[in-house]
Amino acid sequence: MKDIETHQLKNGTYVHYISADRFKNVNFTVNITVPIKRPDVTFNTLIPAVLRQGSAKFPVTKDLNIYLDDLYGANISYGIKKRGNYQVIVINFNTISDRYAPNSKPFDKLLKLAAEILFNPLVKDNAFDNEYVNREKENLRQYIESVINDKREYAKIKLINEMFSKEDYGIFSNGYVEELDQITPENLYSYYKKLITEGLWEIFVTGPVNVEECNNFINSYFNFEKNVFNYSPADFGKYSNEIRKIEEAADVTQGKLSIGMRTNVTINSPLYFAMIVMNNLYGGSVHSKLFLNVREKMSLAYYAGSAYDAHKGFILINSGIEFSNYEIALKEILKQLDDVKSGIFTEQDIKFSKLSIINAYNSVKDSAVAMENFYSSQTLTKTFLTIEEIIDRINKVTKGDIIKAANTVIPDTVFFLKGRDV
Amino acid sequence: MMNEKIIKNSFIDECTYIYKHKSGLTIYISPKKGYTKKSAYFATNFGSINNTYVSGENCTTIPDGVAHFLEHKLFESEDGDAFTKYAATGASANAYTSFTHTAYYFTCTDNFEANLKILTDLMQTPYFTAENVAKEQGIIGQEINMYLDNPGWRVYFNMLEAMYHICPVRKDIAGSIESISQITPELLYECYNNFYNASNMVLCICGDVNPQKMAVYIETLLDRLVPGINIESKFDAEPEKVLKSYTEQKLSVSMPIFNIGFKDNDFRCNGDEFIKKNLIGKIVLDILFGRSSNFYDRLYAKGLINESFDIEYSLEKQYAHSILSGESCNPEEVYNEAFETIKYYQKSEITEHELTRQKNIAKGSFICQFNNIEEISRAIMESHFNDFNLYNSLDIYNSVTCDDINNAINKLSEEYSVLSVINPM
Repeated sequence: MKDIETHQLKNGTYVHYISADRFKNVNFTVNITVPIKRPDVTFNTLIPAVLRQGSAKFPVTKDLNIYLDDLYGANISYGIKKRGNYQVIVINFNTISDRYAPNSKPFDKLLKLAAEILFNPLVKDNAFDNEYVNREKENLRQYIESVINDKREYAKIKLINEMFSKEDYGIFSNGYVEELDQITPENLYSYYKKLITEGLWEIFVTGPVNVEECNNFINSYFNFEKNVFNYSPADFGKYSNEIRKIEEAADVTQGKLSIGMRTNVTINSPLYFAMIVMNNLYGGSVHSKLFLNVREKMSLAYYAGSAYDAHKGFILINSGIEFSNYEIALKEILKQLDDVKSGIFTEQDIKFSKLSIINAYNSVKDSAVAMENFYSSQTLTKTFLTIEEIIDRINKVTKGDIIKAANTVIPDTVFFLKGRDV
Repeated sequence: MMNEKIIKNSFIDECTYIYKHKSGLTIYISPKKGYTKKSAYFATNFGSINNTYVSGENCTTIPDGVAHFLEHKLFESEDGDAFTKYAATGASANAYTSFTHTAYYFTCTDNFEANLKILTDLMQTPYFTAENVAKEQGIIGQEINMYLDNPGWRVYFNMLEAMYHICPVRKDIAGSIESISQITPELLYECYNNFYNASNMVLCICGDVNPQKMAVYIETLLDRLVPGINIESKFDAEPEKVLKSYTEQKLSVSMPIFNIGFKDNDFRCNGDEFIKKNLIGKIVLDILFGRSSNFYDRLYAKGLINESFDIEYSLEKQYAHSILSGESCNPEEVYNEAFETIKYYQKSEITEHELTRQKNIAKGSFICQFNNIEEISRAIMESHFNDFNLYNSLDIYNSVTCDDINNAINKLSEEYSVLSVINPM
């Protein structure tokens, strides 16, 4: 059985069907990809929030919510992701499969609702509803400001912002408070129209559905006129000669340490798969060097791990430590990278990492959201590898490849959130 | 061969095989055709609230955080660390401690039987030394500090501390740096022996497996499991009213964060009644404060609540409560509005139409949990610890009446409620 069936509409929009019978619900997800630009990010975050408030048919948000509740607790959720030099606006609609409510046809209703929300918004005189926009602007302001609440996340965001301050990637993807004042119901609506013609649209339908019927429906709503979307991969930036260290004082009990490292290995590079293995054995697993040394051996932290962003080309390390252990933890994290660069790791380490990565890829098929992420991340780069093909590439990675990949990793910026009296 | 029983629901096409091992351990196997992943959860009915127990004439109180500490330490055995063993099979493994239980689990796509051996071995081979306990005090100390910096966690525990006088749910699951400093290898062995025995534990498996073959294999893995000994957790009577109706802390946050808690003193229930009671608790919250309520609509429009607003009902054998949580520029006004809503509903009655809507939501969420093999294992585990049959849920949902909901609404009262706030510094 094929995992996914992909159609392309005349306007370029990709439609993917993951029509697996094993799922008990149906998901209809729209991904809209646009280049990340400072003047646009606040608009991008605001758009799905305003759309979620209602439409011409549901001008009162409460009525929309009642409709969703009656539809077996259907949901409309949205979010925004950064992917290299792009932002992806994700809007998801889901409810139970028709199988469990044969008389009320929930999937049919869900599709119509998605079309209603996306293409029949509450608009007057070429402007979104004033009340929706004002209240979502205020909510977005609160959301942007709440970044300081979760100190772990805050340290990460600050690190990225500082490290990529001269690149598009450093732009806060949630948006900027100071730009909210300039957003009006009029310019937000014209921005949405631009998003429709200029963004890269991609649709995922998962669950037990009739592909033909659904495709007819999608063709009638989503085949609008569009401009051609040209993808350009992110520039990994520039290696720096020395590590930039930034410290910030806050009212915290524990220090939050974030370290950013650059690599020119990205999703299209020959060393991409080697880098996935390298990250897993360096800090991406519970058998990794960071976990075993920073946590288990030195007892410095509860969490100490690394994540590899292959769209932009960097590795991000996060750990929570005592303020006084800053130097020792930083030194150990850098030493472990040097060890990987020098080949101080075993064939067993490689085997463990490959097994853990393969397990993660094989697990993707059991989750609609994971399947969507897996395929949408490839649409942009047009790589289109199956899970089996990726596993095959992972298996072929050698110790030499991992050392090569590790040697492209250069520590760039360190951000430390420490206490006030330290 | 172990005794076999099957529970199922043909409408959603799901079933679970139940086996009783001679040691007293109950094993649940939920076959799931077409799934790549398999999961196993091995859990003991020993959580952070089980901090006082009676054995014969002796009553013992242990330091806060022992159950959680034990969870960390059980991964180690004389022949090495379980994470390393899992690494050799590619499984993704972890564990967690809740108020009421401790669960060890893994998911994998290959080598399921080898992983099951690692899991059952680690549960049967404790290995605690002065050295490995000292090392863990450092790691858990950082885990505790991490939570001290988390305002969402703080506002929740401040609320529980204010709501309960005695019930140990008011204490942090991981304990404190001070309380875990009292933990010794001897204490860990004592708690292991008391709580990690067959009749206090459960093993839940889910995935594309043949239950009978799996059951035969599992029997060979449980050779060191000891049958139950007579240890009873002791819970002193908890007063009905809350300890404090308001609690506040200052942290560096952008705007106030709140929890409004409602203590539910009517939590004692048995078997399938648990399902009903749980659903009633959820429906009451959803009708009064859910996204399609007048309350939500009005407060959202006024800017008193935002997207972060959430509602949750918790029911356990030892306690029950409801929580409204979120961020607000004025938590006290949210609290007052909540009681206006409660008073309004206490004077009126909910309609059949409102109830049907709520049953649809419950039905949808019940069905969707069967998409996820980990959720299935956890739901079965919860049903075991609370003695109900998960597959009866849809029928029991149908039996809930408007009177059930109206009666529960009538019990909400200010003397059982708490407002907990984290204010910006």
